[in-house]
Amino acid sequence: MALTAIMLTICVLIIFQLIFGSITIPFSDVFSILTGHGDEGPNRVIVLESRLPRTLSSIFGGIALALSGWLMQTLFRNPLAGPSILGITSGASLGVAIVVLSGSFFGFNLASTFGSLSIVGGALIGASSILFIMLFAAGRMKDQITLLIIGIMVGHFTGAVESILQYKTSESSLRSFIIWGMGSFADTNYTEIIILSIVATAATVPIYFKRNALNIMLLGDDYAQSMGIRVKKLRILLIILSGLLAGVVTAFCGPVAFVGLVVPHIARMLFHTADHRKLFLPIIFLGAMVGLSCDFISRIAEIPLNAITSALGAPVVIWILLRNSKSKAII
Amino acid sequence: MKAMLEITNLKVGFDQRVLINVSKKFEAGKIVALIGRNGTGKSSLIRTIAGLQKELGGRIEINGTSLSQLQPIEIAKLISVVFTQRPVVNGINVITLLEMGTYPHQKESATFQEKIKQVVGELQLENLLYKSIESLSDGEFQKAMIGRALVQQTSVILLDEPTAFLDYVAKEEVMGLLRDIAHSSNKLILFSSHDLTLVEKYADEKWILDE
Repeated sequence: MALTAIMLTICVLIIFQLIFGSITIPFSDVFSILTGHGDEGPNRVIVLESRLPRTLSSIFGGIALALSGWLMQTLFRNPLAGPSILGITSGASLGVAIVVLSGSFFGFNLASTFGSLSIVGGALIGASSILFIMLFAAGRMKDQITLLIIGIMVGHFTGAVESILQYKTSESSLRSFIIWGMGSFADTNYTEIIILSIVATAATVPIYFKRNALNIMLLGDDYAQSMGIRVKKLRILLIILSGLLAGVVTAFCGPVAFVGLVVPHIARMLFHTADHRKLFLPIIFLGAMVGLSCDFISRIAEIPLNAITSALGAPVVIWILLRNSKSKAII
Repeated sequence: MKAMLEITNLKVGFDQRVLINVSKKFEAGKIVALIGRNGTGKSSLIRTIAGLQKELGGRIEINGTSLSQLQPIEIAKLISVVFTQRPVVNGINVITLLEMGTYPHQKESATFQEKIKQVVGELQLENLLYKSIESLSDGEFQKAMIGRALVQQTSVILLDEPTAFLDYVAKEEVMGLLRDIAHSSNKLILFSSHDLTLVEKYADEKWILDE
């Protein structure tokens, strides 16, 4: 029932995304354009070049972040874990900071020389570098808490380098970097959307097949190991999946806050379970719904995406935590 | 009678420092209490037998098969474990917990559903099935965990201080249950405990770890 309601909301939001904006395009026109029968006027450009890619990007971005946050919360058995907890988002931010703010240091600005591709490249290189560091650490650490602290420390370190770059750079470069940091589903092209959709879809396959093992992981490493799970291998798989999902979204859409953290909480609350077998579809559809709705509000209200995700996400998390405060349980 | 679990010169310790060196044979259908002072290595010994901690030497065999030759998933088909510490987790109900016991067998077939039904009946878990595990009392939780171990269908069940956090009534209930399981289903149950009264009352054998 709840899943059907979520799916219907997604359909409504997709229609709203395509119809409403600076100009309202009637549904019949949108339908004609999407089916290839529309005219060649400006509406066609608006729908196909702006609203449709933005809609797709918010759907797959939302799904990828939700899956990433869900895996992190299971891995660390911690409700505050999200895609940013491993330092992957910070790594991507540092990569972009180096690209955008490099002018003051290297004498030429990578972003203005190579265009927006260099921002995506910087984010991907930054995210994957941190991912490798975390994988290296995960292979050596016996417990998740140490890994969690390393992730947070890596985040602080990259933050420190970023602030040095910000302090030394020009005003215009700083502005570009700050705008990138606000997150947006608006600037993705179809190639990036294809990559995003492939990563998000491909990640669901191992998650689906590991759903029983992920349930057992909730009981802790000892129980998982005693039931035949190779905990270290599963941990590395979760880090790779989560890192890839978060890294790709950050590269294309900037560091989108809160979606990965909040969606698993909403799913557990709505479906009254932490069972990975029962949450698999709800997480995917809720991820898409939250991505779409945040982007829709951000577009209509003309305010940055992260302002919306944080403004809606923070109270939701507080409410859920207060609601569960009687229980000692952490997930 | 042929030994079901045979431990030969098993060396347990940390960083190549051997703390325990033991040999012992156990028969099926027995409940055995592992006793010893704090720090004698009871938990480490249980973890080592379960394959969670690397032994520093020696052999562990179940029905003639050496555990060192087996993959973790194969060991999990022979040995199940119930730990002292209660995992803190929200949103998992008892039926899901019981279903986790099927994991080593990688099946959710009708046979396993039958097994779960049988365990639910034996342990009288009917009223708890759809309760979230964090809402269970310590005694109920321990029963659910024993149920999960039974669904795992192993010949050996290891329990590290299963009554440590239980009140008197729950202690008696859990120990009575374990004794019945050992005797009726021909499993070997090895549990560690500090409670000598319970050990005297319920254990068929004592395994004393000296310092």
